[in-house]
Amino acid sequence: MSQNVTTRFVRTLIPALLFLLPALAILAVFRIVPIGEAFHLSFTRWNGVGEPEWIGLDNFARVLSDPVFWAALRNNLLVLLSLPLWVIGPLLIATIIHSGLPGARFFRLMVFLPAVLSPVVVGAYYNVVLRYNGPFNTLLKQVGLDGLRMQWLNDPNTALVTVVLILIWATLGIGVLIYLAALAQVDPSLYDAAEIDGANWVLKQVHITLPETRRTIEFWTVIVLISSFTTVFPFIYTLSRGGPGYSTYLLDYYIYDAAFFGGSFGYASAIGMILLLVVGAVCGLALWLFRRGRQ
Amino acid sequence: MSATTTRKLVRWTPSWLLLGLLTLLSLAPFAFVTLTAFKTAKNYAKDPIGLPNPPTLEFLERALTTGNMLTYLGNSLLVVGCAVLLLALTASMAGYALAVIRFRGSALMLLGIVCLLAVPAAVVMIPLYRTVGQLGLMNSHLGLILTYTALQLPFSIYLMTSFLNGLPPEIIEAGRIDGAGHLQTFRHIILPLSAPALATMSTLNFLWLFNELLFGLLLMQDDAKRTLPVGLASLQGQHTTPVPLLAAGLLLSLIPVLFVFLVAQRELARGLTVGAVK
Repeated sequence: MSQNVTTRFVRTLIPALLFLLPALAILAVFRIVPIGEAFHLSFTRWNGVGEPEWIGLDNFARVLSDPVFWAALRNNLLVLLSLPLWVIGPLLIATIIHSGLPGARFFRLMVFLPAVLSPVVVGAYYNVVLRYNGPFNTLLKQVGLDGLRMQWLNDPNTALVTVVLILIWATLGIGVLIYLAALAQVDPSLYDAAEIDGANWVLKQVHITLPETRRTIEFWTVIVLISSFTTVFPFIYTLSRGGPGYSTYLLDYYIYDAAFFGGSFGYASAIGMILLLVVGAVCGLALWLFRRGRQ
Repeated sequence: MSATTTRKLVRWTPSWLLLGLLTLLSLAPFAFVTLTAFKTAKNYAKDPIGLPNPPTLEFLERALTTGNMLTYLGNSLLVVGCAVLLLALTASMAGYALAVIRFRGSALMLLGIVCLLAVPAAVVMIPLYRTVGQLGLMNSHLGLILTYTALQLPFSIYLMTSFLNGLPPEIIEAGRIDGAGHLQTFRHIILPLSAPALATMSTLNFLWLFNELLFGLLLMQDDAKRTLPVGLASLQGQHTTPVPLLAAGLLLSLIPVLFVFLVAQRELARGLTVGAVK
């Protein structure tokens, strides 16, 4: 490397680093170092005060025989069964809004509205509304659907499904917004050509909308995958606290519970490491499938 | 009515039904908490969906006084406001370094920062709880402000960098000709040009942080320091809380969010779709 190139490199690097310094310092202390620290803590026993005690792989051995961990992991994987609805639901709604039916602007606004609500508000609201003597069951009774009244969040058979539907509802608006941005870029003449060829609505969606918005569908799928593992805590905390029994325990809620209620901070960190691996594996698998599908 | 109009109306009916149902579901929380906040406990138990009869201000008053909602709201606005400002400053500086100055390895650094987005909050919460304790920042606004800033920095830096990368280089060069230093270029050219991106970014950061529960719950255990979501969750967690009191708390917490929604929808839409297309 010549002297000149080196000087130029240094002359751009120093001011760049000075401009980056505040952001990098905050990220280092409050984000990057904690990730390494979580790895370290997963090999320790720690009750939240005092010094963590090194116990090697004991936490990971304990995970294997912990029924609550397996219940939580199973629930997380059950949530993934809702992925088709979570991914395609917003696309369907965006397609309808994009087709320009009267009132489209109003409906776009209304569909997006829940996305600005805090998970705490969503959770507290549905927790009250779905109680047995609450408004939803009362409404069912008033319209004569008495038989459908249920302990929505208090019955182990319906609790997880109810939670998943609420999660999908709460993120629907963002999905619709992202798909609308993608649909705005699709060449309208493609639909006109298909119309002339006599294609019906379903055929047009399958042969034009799906392929044309493919990248966005993949993007939204990855977002949903990551969120289903990492952002459910505030919903579970307010909707069901993991209950009844362990029927709505999900991994990120279990980490909080094991640490701040169970006092097992080291054990909770080990579950955190496993969660990181699971999220990485699931996303890696999804990206690999997308790439294969494209070839 | 002509035959074609009728046919169109018929064709749109299923779509209207679906979107109408979603509209009802979206408006229901607002209607429910507004009606319920004005009910007496007895009134709610007897009729959870009807109009308040007789209407009362009892629970709204209680939410504001003994429910501490105003204190929580003040804490939230203070912490989130400071974090949003700190984010605007640090992320635009970082964006300037990564998009305008550029250096060998700047693309790699941006990639590394973006990867932090995929790390679950649940993974870092335990070490963070420890770090904040060790720094003596437990129960302090500053601790939560810095935690929140770190939480939103990856997204904010990504947004600023892609915005600045999209600016025509001539605009930036034109300002540089008179030999201005980096600090002047940043202050007098980049910051004014970034106003729309900063508005979008700050709107999203405000909403996300104002709605955040987990870190607030961990780092603010002193009741007087709690943020609004933490206060609401604790109110909701007590089984003795009357539903109208909870509804009053929820109603008060919806006002700032609704305000942002009505004023800044366009910013929200722009920010949320960054990177989504292609």
